[in-house]
Amino acid sequence: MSSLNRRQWQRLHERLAGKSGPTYWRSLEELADDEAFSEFLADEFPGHDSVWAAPLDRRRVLKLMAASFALGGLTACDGQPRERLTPYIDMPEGLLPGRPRYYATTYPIDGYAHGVLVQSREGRPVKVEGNPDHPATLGACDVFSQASVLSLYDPDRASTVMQRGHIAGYSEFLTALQAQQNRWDATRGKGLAFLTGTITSPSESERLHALLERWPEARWYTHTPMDRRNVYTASRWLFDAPREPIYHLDRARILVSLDANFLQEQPGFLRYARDFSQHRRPRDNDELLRLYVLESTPSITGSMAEHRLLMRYPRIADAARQLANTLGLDVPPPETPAVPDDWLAALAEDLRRQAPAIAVMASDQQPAEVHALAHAINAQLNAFGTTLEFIDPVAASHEAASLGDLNDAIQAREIHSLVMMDTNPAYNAPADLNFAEALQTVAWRCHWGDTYNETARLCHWHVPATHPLETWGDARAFDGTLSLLQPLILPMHDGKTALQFLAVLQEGIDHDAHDLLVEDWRARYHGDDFETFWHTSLRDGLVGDSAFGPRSAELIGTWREQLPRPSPSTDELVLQLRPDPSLWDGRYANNAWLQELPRPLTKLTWDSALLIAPAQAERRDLATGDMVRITAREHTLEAPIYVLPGMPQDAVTLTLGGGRRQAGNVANGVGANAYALQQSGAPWSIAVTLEKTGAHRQLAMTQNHHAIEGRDLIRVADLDTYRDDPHFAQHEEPHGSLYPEPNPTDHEPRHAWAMSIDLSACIGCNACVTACQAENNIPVVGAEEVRRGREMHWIRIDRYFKGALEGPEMVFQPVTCMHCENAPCEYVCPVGATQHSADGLNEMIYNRCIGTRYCSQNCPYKVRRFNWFHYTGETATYAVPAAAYNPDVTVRARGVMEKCTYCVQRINRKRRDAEIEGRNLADGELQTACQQSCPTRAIVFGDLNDPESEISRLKSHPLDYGILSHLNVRPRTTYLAAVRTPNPSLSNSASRESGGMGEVGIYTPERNAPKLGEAQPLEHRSDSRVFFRKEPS
Amino acid sequence: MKPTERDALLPADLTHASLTQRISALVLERRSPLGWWIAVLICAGLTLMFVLSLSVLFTVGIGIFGLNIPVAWGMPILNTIWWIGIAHAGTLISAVLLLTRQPWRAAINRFAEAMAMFAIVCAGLYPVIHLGRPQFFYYLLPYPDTMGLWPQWRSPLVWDFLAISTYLIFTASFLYMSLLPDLATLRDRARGWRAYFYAVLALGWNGSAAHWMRYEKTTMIFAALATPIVVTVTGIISLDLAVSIVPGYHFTIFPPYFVAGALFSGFSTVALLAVALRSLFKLHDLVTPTHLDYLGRMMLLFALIVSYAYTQEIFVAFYSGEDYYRTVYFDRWTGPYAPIWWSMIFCNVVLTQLLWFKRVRRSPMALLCLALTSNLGMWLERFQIVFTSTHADYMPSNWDTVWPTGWDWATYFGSLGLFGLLLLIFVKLMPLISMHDMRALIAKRQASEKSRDEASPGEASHE
Repeated sequence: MSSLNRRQWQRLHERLAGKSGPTYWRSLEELADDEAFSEFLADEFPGHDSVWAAPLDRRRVLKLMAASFALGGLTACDGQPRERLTPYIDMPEGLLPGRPRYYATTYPIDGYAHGVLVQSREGRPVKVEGNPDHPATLGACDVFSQASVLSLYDPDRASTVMQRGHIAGYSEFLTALQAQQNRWDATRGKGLAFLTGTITSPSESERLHALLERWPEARWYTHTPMDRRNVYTASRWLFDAPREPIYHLDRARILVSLDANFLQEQPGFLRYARDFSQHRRPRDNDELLRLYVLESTPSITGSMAEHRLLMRYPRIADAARQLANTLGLDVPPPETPAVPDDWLAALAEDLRRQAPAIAVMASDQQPAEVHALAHAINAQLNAFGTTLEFIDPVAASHEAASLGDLNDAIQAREIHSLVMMDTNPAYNAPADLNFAEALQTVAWRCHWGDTYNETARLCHWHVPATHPLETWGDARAFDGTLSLLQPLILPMHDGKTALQFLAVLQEGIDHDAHDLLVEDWRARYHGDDFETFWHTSLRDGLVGDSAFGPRSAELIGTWREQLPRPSPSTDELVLQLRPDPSLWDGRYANNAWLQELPRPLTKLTWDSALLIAPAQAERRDLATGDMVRITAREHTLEAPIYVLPGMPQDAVTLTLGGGRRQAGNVANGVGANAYALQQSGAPWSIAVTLEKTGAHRQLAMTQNHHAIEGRDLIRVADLDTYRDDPHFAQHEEPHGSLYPEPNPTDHEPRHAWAMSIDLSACIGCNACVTACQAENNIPVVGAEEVRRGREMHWIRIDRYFKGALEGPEMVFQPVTCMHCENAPCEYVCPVGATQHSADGLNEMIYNRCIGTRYCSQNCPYKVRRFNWFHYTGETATYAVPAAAYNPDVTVRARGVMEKCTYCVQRINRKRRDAEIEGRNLADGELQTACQQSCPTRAIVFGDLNDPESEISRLKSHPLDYGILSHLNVRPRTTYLAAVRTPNPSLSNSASRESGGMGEVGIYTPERNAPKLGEAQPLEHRSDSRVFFRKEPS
Repeated sequence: MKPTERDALLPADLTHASLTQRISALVLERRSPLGWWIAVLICAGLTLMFVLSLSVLFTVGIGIFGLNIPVAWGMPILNTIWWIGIAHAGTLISAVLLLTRQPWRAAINRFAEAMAMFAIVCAGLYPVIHLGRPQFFYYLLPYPDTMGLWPQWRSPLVWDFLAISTYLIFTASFLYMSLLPDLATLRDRARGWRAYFYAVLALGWNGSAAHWMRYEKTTMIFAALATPIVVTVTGIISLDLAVSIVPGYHFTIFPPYFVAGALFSGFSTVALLAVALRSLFKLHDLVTPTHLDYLGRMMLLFALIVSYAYTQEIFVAFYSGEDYYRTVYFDRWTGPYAPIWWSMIFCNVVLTQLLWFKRVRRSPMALLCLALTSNLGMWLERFQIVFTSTHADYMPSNWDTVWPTGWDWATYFGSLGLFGLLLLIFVKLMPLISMHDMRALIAKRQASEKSRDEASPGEASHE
């Protein structure tokens, strides 16, 4: 520090020697009164050196110290929030605060078990993930299971026993029940009826049968809107026994869907999506699975089809007859053909060629005749045992009578006591039954369910049900696998499990939920060591090898006689009803995550709209948002129009799930109640008339522009093109900048995170969107804010149409933050609130962000989301209860920007774990939330620095391309171009299918275009991305 | 300078004494005209609305404005640019016309400078209004904080922040400096508390030769500084847009284009104020049709430059071969915001051609109307730049349109009210015509008359 010479040292000592008392000095030079120091002072502070040179006295030192202290204190003006620490008195075993714990359990969807792993944080379930060992999910997770966490904390859940609208105690209910039981005993149960939803649980079904034994005259009815009645009817025709088909799509080469949205709606859809995608990924296959879809409403399954044919619901049966005829089955042909001959011939030939690796699937909502024909075709082509098997009905409730029968019994005054479990007929019964009115004529009505809903309010007694995450129970998966429900949390309200409720009906005494389940299982178990079996099964979430075995499937000769006569086709407008992709049959309507989840094809949120074909809309002078009055027989309903390209011309579609009246604050009044038009005789299609009301409603959509404007964001080719030119998707890369660029960095980072999204595999099912919402504490903003373009999802699934309005291709593209290496958002932030990490993440620093929104303006992908209001505040319209938040992720305040982080909290947890254990992160050990939930494994995330990792393999794949990479932003998220395998004999007729409309489309390479790598003139590059390519075809 | 032209700018019978008496009387003696009270009432009402909007904004959030994700910049940014533009002509009249010794600036420079000052106040408020978390605006300042964090110097918003604050400080100093001799005049004429008030503000000015010498030197330095500041401030604001990679923002032509646009709207506003104030305070002889003529010429000049910039911008977009840029233009012409673009062309390109006619330039009413349409046109120009560029950019899936909300308008008209209120209070407290500059003109006239008399004594004796 000091560079004093000997003479100066001497002076210094001299000066200090004679001093006593408080003398202050700042440096040795000053003390030595060095000339150089004086000169330095004079130069540095011209005219002020005297101030510096002046001696410091005590007062001055104190003044300076006080001033520094005060100024230093200014920066600490922000008060810290007061927090309390409460230690555990009894520490739960194995719990480490701050570390998530996972429990395997089951989430039943309409009765069918989906095996899930639930993340528990300090005793609170916060995230539902797929159970990799469970056959129905294989680690993927659907939107309903994932969103169930929010329902668990829903303040609108039924919380107490209610008696005729007043809060009552459980003991009061028990007393009232006892009186009833005596009455039932007296009549052996005559006049007593049970109405349940789909029951797949063996314990519940046993207990229900015990009730029916005790009161033999009692009757069991079942009601759920999306039932499988037609499946069972068809199998009775075919095999003389009720059966359910299960498919092995991984063994199929050709799939034909008869209106079956098997990627989203049928039991086992997650597994089917996984198996389906197995042979759809060109990165893993040489030959690809080909999908033909004949559908009445565009669906995500239809969007994956190589060949898609649109026809209204009643015509599907005609198409099935045609196909059966063509394949040599002797069934009466339809009155008018539904499928063009060339199409039919090509399909039949394809099926014959690939048999038995084929499957024809029919929608659960299609009549039994379509199922019978589909399976007859499967049998004809020897697909039984290969791509599909028949098992015993998974649902024990298949034997119960229908709601229509119950209605008749009530009308006939045969029912005086009605016990309803997990069903809501007052909302979702077909309109012609007028069930709500009939219900009120029953003398004693009791309802068990998770919401004090439309039906519960009409009952004398309502007993709250536990949420599946609070429940001890069991259920069967689509293939019969026994799955266990174990609670993640004690019931938050006075909820009772189904077993508890059934036990109370039987014995009149409240039992412990756990004991009931264990008792049932102990009674059923025949092995030696029940404890080990039980704990293993609980840990796994399922009972191993408990799937139903295949039953022999021999067609009995008489099935043809059961087929109804072909129905004459009419030309009146038909209304088709479909389950809602987000709300299902309406039971999930009070879940704000699901309400705000954009429906895959319409990108509509917070509403149900009547889907209508563009030509039909044009004819009737209707535009999206116009209100129409739909009249079906004597019932009318008003709903807004949504003009959806790809709808059949002579049909309109309305989804279920809207128009709830008593579901809770989120759902009440949202959308139109399609059940108000439903007819019990033909529940899924009915002739209607439309009438324009003149009113208009602005729909809340997350995507307002539907054509891709000729931009090469999505790149698709057929298999032959891909084989000719595997690099078709890789366009000329930009040349480097003149200026030095931040990447690649000089220092070697340990990791380089990157993502790859396979467009061949993405089915647009939204699982990733909900996963991200749950993982990253993404707020719900409500319909008004969505209308204004302020939805908050960090991952969005873009949907584009290509081709004609009548039958366009539909393509999905999930878009997250691209984590550009040369990120345009970073350099424009005035406060440096978005930065690049060494391992390649584009990071947001929320507490530095002041909300200039420059980053979003400069983001070419527009993936950033802004907190326009305090969406996470307690007073926000759709505030998420604090308990549902992931504690690893900051809850963002008003006025800050946010976006996809590549789940940085997951990265860091795994990275730290690996570091502590002194090992390298293994590839695949780390999964982002979106990747984890994806049923088709379309999303791959990993470390580019690991040359062996799957992400490295995919990034060097010829199909890999980045979108907008000509901007030299170098996205870390890239895409694998989609490859489809159309039938060559049908691809020429594509122009006919598209009806002569101009292509507004998705980038598809020209067959004779020069390949990449060949020298090409510069102009060519811009030619390949010509805009406004609307030349007539 | 030819004597005839100077004569047109000054009434023949104006003397030092009568000028000083008239102007200072406006401040010290005369009761305010009824029009002033009406204007104050309206502006105060609007200012209250401004305060209300800001209170709601700061308590509820920026979401009350018409903004969304493709269009995350809206009215606040638009109005920042617009107000800055208005401010520019004030500075330019003071500085460039001073440097080039244009005599016609004397009658209008005072309220032009005041206009600049208050326009910057409005312009400076808007960037804070724009923030999602306005309470942390000081993060933009390079202050020493405990975490060692600095602003990000690569971001144009930091340049912007520094440019606007520099401009604010500069304009305030310049305005005050030029007020000093007049403040001393008022001090000497005022009675009671006003005398104290002006005495404090006049900083002991006594009109000595030394004071005048220093004054002249300082104003010349200020004027020399002002010119580059005018160019850089708007230039930097245009870089907020031009530095980004957004088609429709990313043009190298933007800095000069924005400066021209700023001066166009600034001169329009000066013309507007000149017409309004001269009729309000009956100054028709001091602010003459010749002044209006000159202002009209400046408006025409900058309107032509702006029109040229429009053509260049379109040319560059198409010449670049970038499809995304072309799409932006097709969208501006035919998309949802097309009426904005065509109205802008009508206001800024078509209507301004009227200024070729001398009768239009010298008609106060016509000039007032054109000043209003030009300001509207420039507002629309900023609207179409800010709104249309991101509403349909790279990825069609996130295209969306957004329109200003009631709160946007309340804030905008509120800031107009604030501007008007500040200006109205200013003209009651300070002389709205620079007395010493006018006296200098009179002195020059007298000097030249004297020299004329000496050159031809015969003529004088004949009179």
